[in-house]
Amino acid sequence: MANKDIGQLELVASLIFILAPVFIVVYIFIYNNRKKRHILEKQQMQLTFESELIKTQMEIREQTMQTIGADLHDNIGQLLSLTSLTLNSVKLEDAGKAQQKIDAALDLTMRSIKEMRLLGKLLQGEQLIGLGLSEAIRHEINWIEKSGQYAINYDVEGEQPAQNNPDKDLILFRILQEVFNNIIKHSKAKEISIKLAYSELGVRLQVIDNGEGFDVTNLPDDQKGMGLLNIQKRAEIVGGRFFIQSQPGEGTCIDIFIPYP
Amino acid sequence: MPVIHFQDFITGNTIIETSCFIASMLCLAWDKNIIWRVFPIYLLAMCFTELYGIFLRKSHHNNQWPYNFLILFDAIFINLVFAKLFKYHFKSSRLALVGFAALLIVYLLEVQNHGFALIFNTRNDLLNNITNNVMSVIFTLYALIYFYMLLKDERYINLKYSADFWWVAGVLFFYFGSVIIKLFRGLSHSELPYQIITVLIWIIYSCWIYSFICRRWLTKILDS
Repeated sequence: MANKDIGQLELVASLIFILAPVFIVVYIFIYNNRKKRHILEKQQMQLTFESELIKTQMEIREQTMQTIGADLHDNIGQLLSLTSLTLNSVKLEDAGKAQQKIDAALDLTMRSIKEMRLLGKLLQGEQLIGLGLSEAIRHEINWIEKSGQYAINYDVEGEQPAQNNPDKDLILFRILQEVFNNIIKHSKAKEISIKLAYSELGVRLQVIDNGEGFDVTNLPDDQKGMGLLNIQKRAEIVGGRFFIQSQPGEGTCIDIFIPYP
Repeated sequence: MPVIHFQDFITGNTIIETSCFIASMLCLAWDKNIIWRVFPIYLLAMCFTELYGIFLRKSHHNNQWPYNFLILFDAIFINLVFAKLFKYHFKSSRLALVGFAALLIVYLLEVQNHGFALIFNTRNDLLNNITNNVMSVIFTLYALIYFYMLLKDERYINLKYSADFWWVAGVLFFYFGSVIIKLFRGLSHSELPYQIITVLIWIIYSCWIYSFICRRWLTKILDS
């Protein structure tokens, strides 16, 4: 091979061997920029998650306060007013009737104390989540059952993982509260069936009611704020999925699956 | 005795090598890490070798033997720097040791083949070809391993101001880029290999100068 050919070959090969590291360095820069974007997105997602968690805590607290306010006004307030009226009407001259009224006032007081105890338990609801989701759900159900308007069936399947995730428990508990709100406000249901199932993949919460139901695909504008979007958003924020099945006159089935813990 | 002028020592290689040495003095002389602190000494040795090589060439002596001597210094120092860089990602001492042992074995085999004249005889015209080639392969591999670790690392590093990154980039450009020149050594009788090597020397030392600046100032700005 002539000296000139060797020189040309040497030049071309050297250029290729110099350009290869250029491509490697450029690729590393591009990949590194993607890594930066990914880290920023992750941080943003974490911030969104944390703000959603705080919002959820606030909503649970607000709902608890509303329930307590309503109960104080409708139940305990009435019972105590009635106790006061009964005691005011006691005439000591008529010992027989007075005894009856005092017994009635005592009964009313005992009922008030019972109501107060239930309220106390409701106030501890947030802390109950720390003991486990199924326990918190049971307390929520007890409270709804107290109204006597609903027959509630509650099943827990599978073992709750030894290491729970309080953030996910909180979000799932708030989703259930939203579902209960919808049932109470809109469904006119009499029977509610709740199933909480733990598996290796995650936790599934299913709520079925026998209420009026609605057309999921054609929801009127005034019913779009029913919290369904909120439920979906919350389920997605913890990597979960949300399904709803409903037809007018056929009740509603809500299914939420969240990877757990 | 031929007359040697001052301007004979001013070449493309000596300009960039001396600049790199000055940059290392200004940026690294007080560095907290001993490896970075040794850089000025390493570059000073490099400059002396280059200048002495020119002196020998101008006085019609063969000038390969100082480079044959310097190659050992190269092997030790660059291995040490890579060992330090790998330490952030995995237990690096074994890899650096294997690399250095391989280079030493090849070097000693070459010394055995050519005798100690390879290093000490000022009239020989032999260069440690195999050691040079093996060194190119090993350092290219080191640089690629470093980049792979960088890609795998979940932490984000701003590479624009990363002293380590630019130092390794320089090594990769030089040792990978010079593979062809080393393989074609002796086949071509033109000036082209020297011109390509000069370009590569400018690339590696420019990367290193920027790396030293990053080490001295930019990395600290980022840390704060």
